[in-house]
Amino acid sequence: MRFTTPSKEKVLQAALQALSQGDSLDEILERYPAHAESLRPHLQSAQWLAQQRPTLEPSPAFIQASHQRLLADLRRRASPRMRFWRRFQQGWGYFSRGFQAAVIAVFILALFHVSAQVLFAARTALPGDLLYSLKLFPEQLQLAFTLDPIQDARLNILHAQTRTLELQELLFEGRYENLPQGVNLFQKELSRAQVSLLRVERTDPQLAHLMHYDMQQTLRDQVFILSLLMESIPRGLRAGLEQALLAAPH
Amino acid sequence: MPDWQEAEDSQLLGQAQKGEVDAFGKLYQRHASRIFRFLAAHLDAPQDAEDLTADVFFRAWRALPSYHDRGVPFPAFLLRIARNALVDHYRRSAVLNSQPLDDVAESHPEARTEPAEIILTRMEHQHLRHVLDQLRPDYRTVLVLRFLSELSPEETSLVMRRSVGAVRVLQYRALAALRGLLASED
Repeated sequence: MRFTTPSKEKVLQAALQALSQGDSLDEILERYPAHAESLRPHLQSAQWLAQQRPTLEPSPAFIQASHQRLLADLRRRASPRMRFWRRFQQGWGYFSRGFQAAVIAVFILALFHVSAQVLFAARTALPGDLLYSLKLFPEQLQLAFTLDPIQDARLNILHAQTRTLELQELLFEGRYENLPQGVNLFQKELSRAQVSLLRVERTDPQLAHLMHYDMQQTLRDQVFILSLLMESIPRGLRAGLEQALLAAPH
Repeated sequence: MPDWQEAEDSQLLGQAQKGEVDAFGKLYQRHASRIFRFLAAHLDAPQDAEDLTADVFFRAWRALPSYHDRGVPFPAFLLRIARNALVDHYRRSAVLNSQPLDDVAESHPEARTEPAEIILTRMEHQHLRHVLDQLRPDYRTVLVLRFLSELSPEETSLVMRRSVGAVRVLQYRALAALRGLLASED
């Protein structure tokens, strides 16, 4: 029988353990009659190796002499200056682990702080700003996780309102080159809001009507301000904004 | 290694790490023999094994501040150092054209007045070396660690950086290979 499965190797390990504890070869083989034939050569090899141990034993004189030499050498090395250095090394070992943990913690805090600052800065970003996509991301995320059509409609209306405020900001700041992007986003939000209101209408027409009325009221003032500001826009850009304002409920 | 020995080792290690030379001396007395046996099983000249044994403990002393018992018992830690010391020794020997055995014996005071017992031990040592040298290096290492340095399979696995299961398989095959060699000599 060959020892090829792990369980057979475990039998061999148990037999070797017994051998190292002083049990005789025959006693062990009697304990494992099914494996006796295959165990024997392995145990004989192990026994032969154990018998060689005295051959490799260092002389007691060497152990004693080298022990003395080692202590003398280490004492010489462990002079006050070396002891200080050694303690410093040991202390540094503990310190460096603590330091690493502190650095990681500071890094995580700094990352969190920077992320919070960037997100905060992104809240006031306008179309064309570097951080503007960061402002849109949480909005998209919120919509993606909203399963209720009513809540979905409310969010779309809110986002459409935000876009009109952004358009006003762009006009105030005279950033006409970013107007097309702002208008485009406003139109998209508006059509999304209208689609979601249609979805609400299928289940609750009365609520949909109320929400539509609210949206109208909210956007009316914004649209009015925009139409006043439109006078300052170069003529070439005015058409797009006019079209968007006409589509807005008022 | 029994648990009580491990606990004593751990206590001595703690003292040695604080710079107590005597505590490290006690660790030397406890473990020097098994380190020597490991080295002697790989080297022809016993004096090389003696020099390297001392070297291993010096290296261990230097490494003590960064040694933390992360599941590696002290004997396994020492034997890892011993393996590295052996590799360094082989590299040096390759560069410096190692001295012929006769010359080494000539330079060793003990060798000039060897009694019959020492000669016999030398011959047995050479025979063991001859047999072990015919084995694959990983077979040789597992047999030396398990049966000459008397490490458990778990400790052996830590020195060889293999799983305990892999060590058991290796041990099984190595013992079979050794049996084959011994049988061919008979």
